[in-house]
Amino acid sequence: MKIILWISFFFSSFCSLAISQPPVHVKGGYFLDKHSDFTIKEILDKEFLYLPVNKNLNVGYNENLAAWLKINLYNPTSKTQVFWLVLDNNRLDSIQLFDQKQVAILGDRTASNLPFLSYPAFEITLPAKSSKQYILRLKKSISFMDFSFHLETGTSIHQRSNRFLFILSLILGLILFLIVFNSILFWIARQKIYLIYVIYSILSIIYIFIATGLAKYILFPNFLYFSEALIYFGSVWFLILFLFFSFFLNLKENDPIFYRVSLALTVIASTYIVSSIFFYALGLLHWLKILSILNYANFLFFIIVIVVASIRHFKVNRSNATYVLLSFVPHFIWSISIILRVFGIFSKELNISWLVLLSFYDSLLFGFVLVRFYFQTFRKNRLLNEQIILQKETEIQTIVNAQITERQNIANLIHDQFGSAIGHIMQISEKNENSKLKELLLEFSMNIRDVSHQIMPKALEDGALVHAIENQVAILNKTLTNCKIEFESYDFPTIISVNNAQNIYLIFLELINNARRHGKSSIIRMEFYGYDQSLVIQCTDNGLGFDKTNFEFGFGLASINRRIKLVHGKFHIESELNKGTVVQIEIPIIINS
Amino acid sequence: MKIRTKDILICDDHNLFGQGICQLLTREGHRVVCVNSSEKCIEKLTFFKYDVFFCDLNIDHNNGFDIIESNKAHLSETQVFLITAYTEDYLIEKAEKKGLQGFLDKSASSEKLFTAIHLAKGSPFFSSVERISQQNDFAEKNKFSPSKLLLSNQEKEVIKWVVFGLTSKEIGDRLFISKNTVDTHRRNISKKLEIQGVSSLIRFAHENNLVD
Repeated sequence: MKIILWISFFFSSFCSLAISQPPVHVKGGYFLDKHSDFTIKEILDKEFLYLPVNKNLNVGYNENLAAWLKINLYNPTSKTQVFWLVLDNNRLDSIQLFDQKQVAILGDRTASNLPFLSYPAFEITLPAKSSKQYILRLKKSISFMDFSFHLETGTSIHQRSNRFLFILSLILGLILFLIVFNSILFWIARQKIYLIYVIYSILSIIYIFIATGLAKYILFPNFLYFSEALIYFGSVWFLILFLFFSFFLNLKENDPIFYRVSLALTVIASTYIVSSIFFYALGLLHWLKILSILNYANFLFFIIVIVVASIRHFKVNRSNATYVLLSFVPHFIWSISIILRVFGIFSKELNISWLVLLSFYDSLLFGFVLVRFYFQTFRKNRLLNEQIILQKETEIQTIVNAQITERQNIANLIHDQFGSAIGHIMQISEKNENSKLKELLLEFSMNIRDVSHQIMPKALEDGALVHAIENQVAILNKTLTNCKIEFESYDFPTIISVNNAQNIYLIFLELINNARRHGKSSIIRMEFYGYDQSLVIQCTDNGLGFDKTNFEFGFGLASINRRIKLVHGKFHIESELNKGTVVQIEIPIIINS
Repeated sequence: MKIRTKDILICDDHNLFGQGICQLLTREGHRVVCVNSSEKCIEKLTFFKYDVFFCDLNIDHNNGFDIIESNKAHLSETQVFLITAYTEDYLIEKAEKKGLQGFLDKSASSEKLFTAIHLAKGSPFFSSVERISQQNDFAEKNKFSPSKLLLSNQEKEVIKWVVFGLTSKEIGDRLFISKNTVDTHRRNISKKLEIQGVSSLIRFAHENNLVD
């Protein structure tokens, strides 16, 4: 919002310039020469209509019209007055100034040390107590034409010119900076919106150059088609603006209907532009009026679409919608005024500098908004990265913890199964009871067999999971006194991938462990189901269960969860206090070899 | 009993164990060769004929089964035994399936070793250990067991509400479990009971008094 305040500040300072008039009497008159038939001699006999200073004369759409201006000046003071005759329309294509004979053509700016002006002006010297008559012939090629005139002192014109140049160069500099910055962002982020912004800003600059007369008076003084160029550049510029909005609001995803409508309007507008250039080249001039009216109507429709779309966008992203609507307010007023003028409903045209300011306004606003967006995304990404690192660290911690518990289990197994047995064997061997010793050693070897099986069955190296589990269940049922494990498999493949087999085996051990130790279950039912796309493991127990609403993953479940993630599986757990627990695990079968 | 002299190859990378058997069998009057790497073993198998071949399961990172499999052509006249410290049913069954003559665990008594050596060609598969699955009633597993059709309480509840025509979501809400769990239950139940479609499930539910 600060940005908008700043831009408004520039805007108001630009508007508040006062014009100081020289102390000269002036009387103006005009005559419209419909077909450009008359010469300077013939025109002097005609009757001119009154045209006051600063009164805008709207000629409307013209094809081959010349407007004549007669300006009578009288200097009532006792000093020689030097001042400027200014025409307030820089889009006139031809201006001839006659002072008895012809003195200047086309806003001639050949004299040295002239201030920069965005409109044509002529320096006039009027001696004391004398009068002079000037005749001007104004022409504009096919399009809408209007003009006004006024007198201005040299200091005033220089001041205005300097101030204008200052603001223009300041804002142009800012836009150029934003163009460079957004080009870099486009290069980094590869998002179309930055590119469109850059194109839009470049077009804005071109438009400003043409509209302020910079292009005409400084860059290409011999080019005669600036009024056409202004219209066509303006159209393309507007199209790009709409394209930018539709990207900015992400209409494609948020509002597909409006997206299609805006695409259709873009195509129609492009067709108008291309065909009007075509007609102009062919000389079919009467078509141009229809085309330009259609084009304006199209733009009006376009504006309505964007405004409605951004109002609808309020639901999706409030700040983006606000930006678009805010940026659109001046556009809206300006375009409506132009369109109304075209249709003859409203005759006052807003100053051309309005349009210049509009383009500054958009370019600056969206330049800043995009840059801000980028930094926001950048910050968000950094936070996300930090989170990922944290998650990785906890995951590593889980793995380390799992390894520690695994080692503890193995150590316990060895201690329980062998420690006491070896002590016993040593006692017996001292007594030389060979038969007893043999018996003990046999039992000992059976124990080794069970333990090694429990740690990691060989069968898993071939992926024979069901085999390994059946054996393990048999061993467990033999040793466990207060718990019975039931195991069933339904169409479960006898051989599965080694990775899946090892992981499911360890999940199985962990499930049994949880159900026994935490759940105090007396019956654990383990069911393996084989489906075309997946393997399902279901573990149902009759243990203590837990309250689902008030439950955190313990160490056992965390390690199960991690293993399931390793095999891209899904994990559901359902439980109720004193009603046992149901765990379902689904693991996809990856068919790749 | 007259003992016929046999040519025996032992492949085991635990030198002490291999040499132990080697001595034991030499004392019995057999011609015994003992190797401790898979390369030497394959070399011997390629150039000599043996009556009996004892192969360890783990030899310098190679699998005993693989060595036997890849030298099958040289072993057509030989009685092959797997000799290992691992005594899983799975390995015993695999040895039998692969057409080996027998399975010996490393803690087996010397009598078992001698019995193995003197088995006649074509005798049934020999194992020095009894399989766990044959020790208890586990062996009957492969036959039909009523336990296969056992339904948990939650599964019964799910069936009941399916019969009443509720959707998975509704059943989940009623039983305070997630829709995913219900869906998995339904899939598992139809696999478990070998039932396709709701109509068969309704029939099953009525026949088994699950709806009341």
